[in-house]
Amino acid sequence: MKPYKYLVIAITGALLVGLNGCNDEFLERGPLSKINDALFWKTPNDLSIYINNLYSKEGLLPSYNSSRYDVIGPYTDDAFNGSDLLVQVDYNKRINGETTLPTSGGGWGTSDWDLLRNINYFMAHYQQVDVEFSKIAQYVGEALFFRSIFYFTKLKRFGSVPWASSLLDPNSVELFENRLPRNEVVDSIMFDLDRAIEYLPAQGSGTWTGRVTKETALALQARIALYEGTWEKYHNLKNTPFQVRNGDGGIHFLEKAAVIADSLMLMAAVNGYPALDNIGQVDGYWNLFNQKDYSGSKEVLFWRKYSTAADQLFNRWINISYTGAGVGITKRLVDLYLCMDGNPIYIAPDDKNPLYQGDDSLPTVVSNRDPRLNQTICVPDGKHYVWKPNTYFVKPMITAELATRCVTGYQLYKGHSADRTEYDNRKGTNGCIYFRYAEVLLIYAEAKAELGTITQGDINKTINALRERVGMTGMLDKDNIITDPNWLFTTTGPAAVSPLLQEIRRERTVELACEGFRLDDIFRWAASDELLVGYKPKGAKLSQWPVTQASLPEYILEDQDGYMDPYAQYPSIGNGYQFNIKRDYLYPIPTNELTLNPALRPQNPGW
Amino acid sequence: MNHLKIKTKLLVVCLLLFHITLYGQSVTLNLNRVSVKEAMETLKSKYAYSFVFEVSDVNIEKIISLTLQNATVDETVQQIIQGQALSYTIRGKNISLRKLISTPGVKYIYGLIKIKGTVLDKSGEPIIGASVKVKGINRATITDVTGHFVLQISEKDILQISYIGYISQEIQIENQTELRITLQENAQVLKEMVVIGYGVQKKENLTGAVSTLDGKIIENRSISNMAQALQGTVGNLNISPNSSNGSGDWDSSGGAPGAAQQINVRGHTGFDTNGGALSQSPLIVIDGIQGGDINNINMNDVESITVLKDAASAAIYGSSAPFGVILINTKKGDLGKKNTITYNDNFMFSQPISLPKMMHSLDYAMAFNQFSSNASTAGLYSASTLERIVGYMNGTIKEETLKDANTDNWLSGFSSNADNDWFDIHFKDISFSQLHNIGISGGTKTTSYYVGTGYTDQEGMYTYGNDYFKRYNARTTLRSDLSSWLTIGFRGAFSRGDKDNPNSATFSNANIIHILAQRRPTQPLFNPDGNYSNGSYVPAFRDGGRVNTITDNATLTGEVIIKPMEGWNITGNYSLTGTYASNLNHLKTVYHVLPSGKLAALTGTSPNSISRKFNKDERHVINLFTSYEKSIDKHYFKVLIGYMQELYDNLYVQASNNELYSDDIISLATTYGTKAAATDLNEQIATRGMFGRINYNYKEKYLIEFNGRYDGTSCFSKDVRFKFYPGVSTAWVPSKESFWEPLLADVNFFKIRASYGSQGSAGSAGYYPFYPALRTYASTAASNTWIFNGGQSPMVQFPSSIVDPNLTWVTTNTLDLGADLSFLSNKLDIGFDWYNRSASDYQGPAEAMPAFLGASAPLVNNAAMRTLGFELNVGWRHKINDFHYGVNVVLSDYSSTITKYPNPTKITITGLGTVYDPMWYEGRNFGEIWGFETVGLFQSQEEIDQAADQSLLSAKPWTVGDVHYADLDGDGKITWGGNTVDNPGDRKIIGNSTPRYSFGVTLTADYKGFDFSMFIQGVGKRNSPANHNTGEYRFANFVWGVPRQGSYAQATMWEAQQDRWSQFNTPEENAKAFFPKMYFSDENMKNTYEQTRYLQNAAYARIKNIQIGYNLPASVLKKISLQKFRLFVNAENMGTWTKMINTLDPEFSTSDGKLYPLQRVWAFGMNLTF
Repeated sequence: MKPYKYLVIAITGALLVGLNGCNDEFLERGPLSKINDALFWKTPNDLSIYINNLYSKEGLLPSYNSSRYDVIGPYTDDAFNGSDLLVQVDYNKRINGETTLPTSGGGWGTSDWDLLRNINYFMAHYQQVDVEFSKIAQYVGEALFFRSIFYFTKLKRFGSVPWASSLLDPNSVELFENRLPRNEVVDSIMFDLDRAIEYLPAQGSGTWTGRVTKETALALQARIALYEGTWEKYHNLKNTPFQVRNGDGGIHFLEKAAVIADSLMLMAAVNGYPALDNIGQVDGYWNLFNQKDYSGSKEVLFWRKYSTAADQLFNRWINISYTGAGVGITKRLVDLYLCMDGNPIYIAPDDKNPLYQGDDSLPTVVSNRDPRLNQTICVPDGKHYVWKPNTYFVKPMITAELATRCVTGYQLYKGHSADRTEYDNRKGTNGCIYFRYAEVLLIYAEAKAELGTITQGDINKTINALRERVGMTGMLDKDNIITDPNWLFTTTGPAAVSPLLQEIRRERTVELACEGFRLDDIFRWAASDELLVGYKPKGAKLSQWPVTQASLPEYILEDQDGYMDPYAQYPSIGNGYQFNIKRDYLYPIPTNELTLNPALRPQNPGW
Repeated sequence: MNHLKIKTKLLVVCLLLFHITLYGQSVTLNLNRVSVKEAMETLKSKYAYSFVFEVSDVNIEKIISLTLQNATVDETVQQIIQGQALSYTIRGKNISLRKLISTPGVKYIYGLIKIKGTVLDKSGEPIIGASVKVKGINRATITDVTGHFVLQISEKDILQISYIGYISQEIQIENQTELRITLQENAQVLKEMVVIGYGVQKKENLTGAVSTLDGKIIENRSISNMAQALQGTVGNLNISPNSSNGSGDWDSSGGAPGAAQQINVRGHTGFDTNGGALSQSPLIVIDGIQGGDINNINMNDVESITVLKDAASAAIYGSSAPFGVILINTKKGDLGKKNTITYNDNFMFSQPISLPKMMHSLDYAMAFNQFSSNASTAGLYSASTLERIVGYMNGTIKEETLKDANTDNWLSGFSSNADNDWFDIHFKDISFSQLHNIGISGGTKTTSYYVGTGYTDQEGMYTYGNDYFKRYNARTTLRSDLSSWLTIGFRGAFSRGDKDNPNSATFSNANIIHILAQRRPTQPLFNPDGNYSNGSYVPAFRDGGRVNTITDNATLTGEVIIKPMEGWNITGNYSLTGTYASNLNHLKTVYHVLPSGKLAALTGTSPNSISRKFNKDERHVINLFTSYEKSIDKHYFKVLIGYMQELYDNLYVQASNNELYSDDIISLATTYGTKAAATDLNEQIATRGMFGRINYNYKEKYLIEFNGRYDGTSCFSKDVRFKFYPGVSTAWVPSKESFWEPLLADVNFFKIRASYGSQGSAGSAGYYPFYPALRTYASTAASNTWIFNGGQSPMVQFPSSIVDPNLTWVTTNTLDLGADLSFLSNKLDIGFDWYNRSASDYQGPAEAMPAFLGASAPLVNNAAMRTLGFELNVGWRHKINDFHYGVNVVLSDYSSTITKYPNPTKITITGLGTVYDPMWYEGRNFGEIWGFETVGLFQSQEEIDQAADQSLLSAKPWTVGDVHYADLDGDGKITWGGNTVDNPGDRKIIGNSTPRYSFGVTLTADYKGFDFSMFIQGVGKRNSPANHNTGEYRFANFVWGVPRQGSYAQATMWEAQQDRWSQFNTPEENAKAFFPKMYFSDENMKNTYEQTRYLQNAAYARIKNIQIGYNLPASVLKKISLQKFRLFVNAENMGTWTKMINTLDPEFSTSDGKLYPLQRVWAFGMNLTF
């Protein structure tokens, strides 16, 4: 009997020991392959590797390396966002007023706000790193920079948005507060950027780091200030539902834009950085947009580098940039380019500029015109590369496959990469430019002109500097502007745009053509009524390509003047774009969100 | 009522046998005025001698006194039976008592012959302790442990052989001297023991909702997975094919070789915050060890299966078993039984079923052009291609495609002219599979063993992919009595699954059904040069490399059982259950031949690459429990307490690189690519619990059971970690009451049961729900897209979403009411259970939060749900002469409702445009489908003008051929209203996707060696939305052909869509057309909203199995020294009744339908025992 008694005692004992241990470490299990948040936030490096993640976020800095085969980086953005100057195979639904009111999502979903949370999470924790501020200032500056980009995107989409500069939890009152009026949103962005500029290191003449610099933050601040300044000015002048009633009509933002742009220009003068690249070089303008490495550039302030080392690191622009990427430059953009004398193609309604050779063929279109036109569209002149070193453009790919063909005959040359090796490997590494100095010059000129304080000296160091760079002979003389019968913006009424501003806007459009600025520009100038409503995009003259009509696919059509009419088969834009100027400037807030936080009301105008 | 009398005789058989012979052991006992029974018990407890007798023969209440000092066993027995007319026999430790009829003490009678005999049961196992009597005189014996007996009798005598639970036999001796007697089981009388949590219980004494299944039911099914065989056999044990839902491991879905099954007990167990219902799996307990894998067990090793459905029965497993328990008991050897070897095989021929039929090319191309035209876009097939298609179809053109005029390519897609049905091409007409199993069992007096091995070789259905699944099983169960109080056991099981299929990376990692559906029929199979075309996917399937997964499953259990005294058991065991899966993914560069004869690598296949994954899942389980049972007069008690701890440890490691030196040496070590990557994931869950159970019954008439468990888990923070889960169940057996006597002839058994219990679940909590965690990314991680000066830099993942440290257990409470009845001498059995399972603290989102929060609201225990259901089991068994037949019907049902959810405005769905998710609200029934009511298709402009304004559903105007939605709220326009329950606009609940009234019908019959069985399984009521609730491409194009958003790239057309509105039809044809006008643009959405017209009726009945077998008669078996030889033929999935659209299998109706097809199987095989 004895042996088992011992066993029983032993087992009972083991049982008791086991149970006493109920709350011991056995039940304490933490993540084994993740970092517990409580153990993070110790060193500046922790901040650095946290912020690094922001650089990889599409919502902040689009990477354009998706598997889509119809994107040439930022150079096709104007077509995808919708604009009058660059169009896709299908017409843009938003521009045609076909946006629908969503119940949720629609750019206002949880996943659309999570980046703000991630940035604010950083802001709420970085102080746990116990070192002197100067060692971490740069990362705080980067966080503020990214928060500004984030809010600028939201501002453009929704106008007034709620503001959070701290980390929210489900009990935060901010969740149920009103939207911040749009001008106050921009004031807040300006405040963030002021600090970012203070904290960020200047690149100056130093080496490129790939990180955000003081100069980049200045360029962003100028861009946003001009955006809001002109938005408020023109929406107020045109009395649209999107005007800002409690502000000063955008004046202080225009002033800010001018001051900030000026301070960059001052840095340029002192340090030689930033500066324009490729001055006076043959194809210098075109070459600005097909470089693989901008680390030595003085003009490109902030850009994304690509590499073939990994799938996510290269882009696919080269796949289709030689076929036209399924987009086409419109006749309107082409017509905007001045002749070499600095005058428009028509001097009066029926009076052609003698330099203008007409539209019958691509070579005539570009002859005697602003050299940037020849470097923006493909021309069969034996000098436009399809592939370097000796394959040249012959004719636009108007009959190529639906997704990739050039729909207007004016095929994009700006941004086209002629590197055959990259094409064969299907791996493109052309850098993506986010900020370049030319934009700053244009911001300065526009802001000063809007404020009415612009001088010929200002024009010379901005507009005319850009013309000189490309070898354009005609300069802008503010007191000697020829009236263009085809100016795009109204010259009468309270929102009349002065001849000087017409030309400054033209210069901006030409210099920044197809770089993704156009829709924002139209919206901030409140110019949809002039530029979009009833507008039908047109292309080049179809007759210049000696093909029989029968051999063309049925959907390649021309209008009565012989210009390609890319959307002739769509009855829904038969009368041109049906943009609703009382509604479509801003997206609606999804209805569920208005239910969850009634303080977000009123809904955006027209919805 | 013979069997009832038998029942009242209590036969005590104690089978404690020892290998130490204790003959000559001396007995010392001093008992004063005790009953015979007590004296026997004392002898048993002190010296382990057991008495075997029939109660009617012995007066055990007689009071005696014993005074024995070093007495022999004989002396002791003689004293105990003093004054009673009894004889006795002592065999080992068994003392059998017999009533003396004639002269006592006669040992030898002259003139008699000595005969030897063996008593066996049907399966050839010896029966120990069977009574062998000579009819009419007092001479008897019992069989020994090998079933043998020896008796002196005369030739004229008749032997009577009887044993409890078996039908008695009489045998004329004549001149035989060696007898072999097989007793037939008297199934009705056999008191079935049912394995329950941490113990066994007489079936009759069960108080909870417990179903049992004999392993024989699943024998010889021509399927590779045991779970499949359980489908429809137990009420509310819901088994359905694994669905991949558009992503994930498609090669393990549906009817894929070796595919696992989804298993659930009693329906919805919870819900996720995206509007999805959860039907989580029950705990699998194999031989008492929790955490087993039902998908890898060898069906032929299974002895029986028990399903614990109600909370009170499963409460003993606490939080490990929130959703029921399946206890699988494997075969074991029996002590003292001779070795038995069984061999089974099964040879199977499979054909895919429910494959959709593709449209022929011309119809297809015309449809595509028509839909483009409807969307005002250019036709995708040019006139010249159409011409070639016509030519190819009428035979004037022989080649499926042409060379591209401008480039060195073959025309494909919209420019080629073939006429191919890609499902026909890529799925075999027939594939072959086989199963083999060997089981060996037996035992000595103290040690028993079972060894089973199995081999499954299942060939897949791909014509070119050569996919297969192989499984190897081995199982050993050993048990040995080291002494009268100590038993040790060892159980080991191992299985290896070997799954091999073509590398889907060569076709963009897509679901193969999905991409085959996108192969246009005009796509050539062969290029004019005779090579397979690139777009046929044949090169990719055949040559694109393989994915091989080897899954090893090992369970090792060591066990010690101590019996300090009669009725008291202490059991301790430790188990390691491990799953070790290694996956090798080899992507080969695939070349196709261009018109010029040059080879070109298929996109995405160059460079070649290799990836290895290793996943280790281990469970370390310790169980310690002790039970004590005792009967005092008519009161029976049993008490169990125990302790359990479990550590679950998962480790996943992956490494990959590209540019293999050679495709013949598939190793990471031979790669020279620069994309080497490695990652791991390590997660653990620790659980500890204490449990207990008390059973009490009075005369087996009034029964009550208490269960409880105190459980803690590492998933929750310290303060909210532990919780106690109680359960109580009770039963009353009126048929044992005296007042029932008059009814007994008709209703021979009646029991009513009630139980209530709680169980815990970690719910949606995950591993570490209260840690905001970050992780690092290597500078080369795929999400790291930025290049700084000097290259990519490391980064951390942003913190996981908001956490609530107070998140705790979900508690489910189940009330169960049931009854069991037997009628007409057990010919008819009925079992019924009704239950109400509710969770009042389910984890829901804090409440719908403004999206501005930037994170999903944390889960808190704030929602509630309820599931109601029933199970009914009706069995009928009857025998007409030699013809036995039986019918068993299982019917079950469940439905669930949200009883509390943080959605005060009762929004029904989120998102109205392209993708939408259902939203939970109080009162929402699970599976509920909201939709519009369809009037029909507009046949004329006047109809459109007169109808309610449809235009709010789409920016595009309505035209003839579009769907006419009904204006339910009468406001003259079709709207979503407020998209809430109270203001639903013109939508209403049009159906429900919950499977209602699931049934299984088993018909069995046997006649003189022949046996037949048929098993039908189905669902009585179910809807399936023509549009899956979420996602653009899901489900929709298996019903519609064209996905919701009208993307032509995703479109595919089946023969079924020929029945559609078309401008080329006559008005009469259009009036009858089923499908509306379709568009290759998002205008298509306007006709494809969920609506009554296209709602699918997914009810079905399917003949799952038919089996016909023949057993060789015993006379023949004897000659060839076999115990059993059975041949059978067998068919799976013979036929289906359903109203579902023919492009989808009704068993796939919850998914997008893009699953590996199920198969019809024709099979034959044999069962052999020797």
